[in-house]
Amino acid sequence: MNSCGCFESTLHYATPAHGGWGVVRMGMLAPESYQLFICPFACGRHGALGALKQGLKDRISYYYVDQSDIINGYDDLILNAVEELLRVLKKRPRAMFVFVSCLDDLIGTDCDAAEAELELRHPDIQFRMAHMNPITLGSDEPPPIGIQKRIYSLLSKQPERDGGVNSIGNLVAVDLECELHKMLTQEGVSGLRHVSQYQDFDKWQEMAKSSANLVLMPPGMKAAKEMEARCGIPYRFFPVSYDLDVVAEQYRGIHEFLRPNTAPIYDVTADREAAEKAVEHTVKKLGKLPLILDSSAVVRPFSLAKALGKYGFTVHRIFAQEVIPSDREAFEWVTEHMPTVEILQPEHNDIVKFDRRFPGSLSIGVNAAYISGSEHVIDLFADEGLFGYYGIRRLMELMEEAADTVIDLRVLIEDYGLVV
Amino acid sequence: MGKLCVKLPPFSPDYSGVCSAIFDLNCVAVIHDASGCTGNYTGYDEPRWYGSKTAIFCSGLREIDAILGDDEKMIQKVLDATESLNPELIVLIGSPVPMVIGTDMKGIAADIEARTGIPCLGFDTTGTRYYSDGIAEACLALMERFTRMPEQKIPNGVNLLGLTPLDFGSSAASDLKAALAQNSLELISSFCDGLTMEAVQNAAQASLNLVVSQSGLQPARYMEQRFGIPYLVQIPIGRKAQENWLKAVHNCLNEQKSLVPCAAGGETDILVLGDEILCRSVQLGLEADFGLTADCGCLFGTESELPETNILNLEDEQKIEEAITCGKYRRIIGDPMLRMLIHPETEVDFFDLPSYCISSKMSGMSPVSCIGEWFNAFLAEIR
Repeated sequence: MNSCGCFESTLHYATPAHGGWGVVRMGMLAPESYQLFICPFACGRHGALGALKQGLKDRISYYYVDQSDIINGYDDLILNAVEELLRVLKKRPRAMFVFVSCLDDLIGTDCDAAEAELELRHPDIQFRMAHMNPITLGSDEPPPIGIQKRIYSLLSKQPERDGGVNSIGNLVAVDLECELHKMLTQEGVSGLRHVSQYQDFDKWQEMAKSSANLVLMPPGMKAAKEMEARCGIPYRFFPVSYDLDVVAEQYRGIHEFLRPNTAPIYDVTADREAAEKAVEHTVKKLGKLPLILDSSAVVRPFSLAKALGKYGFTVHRIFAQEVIPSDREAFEWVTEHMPTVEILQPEHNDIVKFDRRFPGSLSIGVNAAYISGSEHVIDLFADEGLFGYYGIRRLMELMEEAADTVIDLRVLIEDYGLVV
Repeated sequence: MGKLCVKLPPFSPDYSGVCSAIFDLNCVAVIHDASGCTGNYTGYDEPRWYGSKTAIFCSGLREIDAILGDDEKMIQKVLDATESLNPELIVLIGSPVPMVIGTDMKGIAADIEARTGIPCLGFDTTGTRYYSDGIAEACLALMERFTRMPEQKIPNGVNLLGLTPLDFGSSAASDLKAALAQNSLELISSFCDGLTMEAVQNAAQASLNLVVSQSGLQPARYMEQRFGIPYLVQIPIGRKAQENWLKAVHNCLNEQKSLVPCAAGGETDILVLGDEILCRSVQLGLEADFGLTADCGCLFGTESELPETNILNLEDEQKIEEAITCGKYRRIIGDPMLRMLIHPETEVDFFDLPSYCISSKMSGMSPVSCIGEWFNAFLAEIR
């Protein structure tokens, strides 16, 4: 097992806490959409059970292909499956994602032709061929990026702008308590829009009227680029940060991006002070309690480690399978300035030995908690809802709450409905 | 399974069956996939995963490796893990992509075995067949490779074949084992709940195989041919039925003949849904304890070599739905997730008997033990 910042290619171990939203749940963000999977039945099991857990099963069906279908090619079956499905659905969806699985990458199904033919047959439905193909992980378009691209491709170019701003890439809307909302309102933005706020496909189209896209999570970058090219909506990347100085820079950057040289800048002083006070309080309360950070909880665990280290917390360990580009600089900083911090890969085959138990710790993330046996846990997933000074304040609150409680990790993991 | 499936989740696949079968062994096992297939098994098909140290991994297959047919990358990872974890056995398990590109799982297994000196088994699982096929294949491979011809048999020794958490909750498995102990039957090996390599090696010391699910049938036939061990196909469900089962066990032991008990059959308004052996056993229990007849709605295929009485092959969602809503049945026993198929106008009493291979941890209820008299309270309600 490495602990020196080197990342090894090993067999992958999956703890019961491994996983996240999965493409099914992500795709379901598109209002009035339906999903049809064309795949061997096995490929659909985790997605279907995850959808049941999330109450989404009534928007997903499967068309099982067998070995003979795969050998013969199933282009025609895609068309037939959609016809058959539409006959039994009580309500026609506005959009349908037709998913194929990993094996489709190797057999050359003409997905573009299938999509075109489906739209010709059913002009009232927008079809998108989509891919649940983790075999492409590590490429430039793995499933989380591909599905976001396809979701936002359903937004049609609008003739006019209405001054709104979209947040893209984040799967959960930024909490209403976050000062970003106040800042945007004060600077004349009609609202910070997020796909999860819409139930109605037509109403959702107003996101295409927005003047700008704020990309808050890396998987949304391709979707934003595509929206810029197709709808003329410019974008900037502002990844979630827990560093007070980085947040200050981000707010200056957002101001300049949205309203260059016009509206007065929103004064973040009070928000920053509140965050600073929260940090000070939590540092005092937690003392030397060892912290374990997990890339399932925050997208950029090294950036978080750097910030927490600067505040005076004791970061003991970081779990990250790899270093993403937007976290690379922080990774290098951590390895240079925090040499005692252990860096472990949560999927490394040696994790199964469970010889790195550390019960007297606080884990930010359930996967880290499971592997380390932490008594104290924050059940945060992918920075959900957090941003800016509010994000820092909220994280401090969560750390204090976690330090005071011992959680039933098993119940928590099973309730979340994690999907690989 | 058939084609369009609108309501039900897909059931457990063959690769999960192989993993489930070898779960208790000191092995390094690898599902050759990208991540989703392993996620199916660890997330939804293995109730024992939480808190376990079983070394079942994902190979992390990537597109370029599949296109180039680069097996060496996986082999090297297996060798590294083996060196670190020191297993007694290595297992390679196929998935849809290896099926498409024609990966020779058995050939790679032979290569790894030659390099490590550790026994290595390869399975050409595809994700297009059910868990029961995977369990059966794994048991067969273990028996063919490791089970020794015994010097002598143990007269009251029995094996349990097909005892899998995908069909049996932990309480049912314990009750079944307790029923053996209470009746002076010695359990030689339990495929696959609490299995050890020693038990695999000694399995042929048994004088009778007790088949308790479809996944146990093929291994039972193999052991009959190879070691001359007869088998009995029945789960002791119901008080009176358990007494009958016990008599059948002793008859099989004494006469060294296989037996597949079969209900008398006839008209009925009761439908039992699930694994064929489970359905047949409930059918026998209803008949023995309550004088009732039931139809078996087999969800995972039917065994053509078994005698048929009121057996339905409900191979896809449409057929299951038709059976449930056809109006013939007033009382249905099955996994609670199958309730999704009941139409509002269908008048039917549904009795929940959860199966992990269907609803996984999503049944919303604790596992039910159906062994012996534990099932009678449940059965009494449908008289």
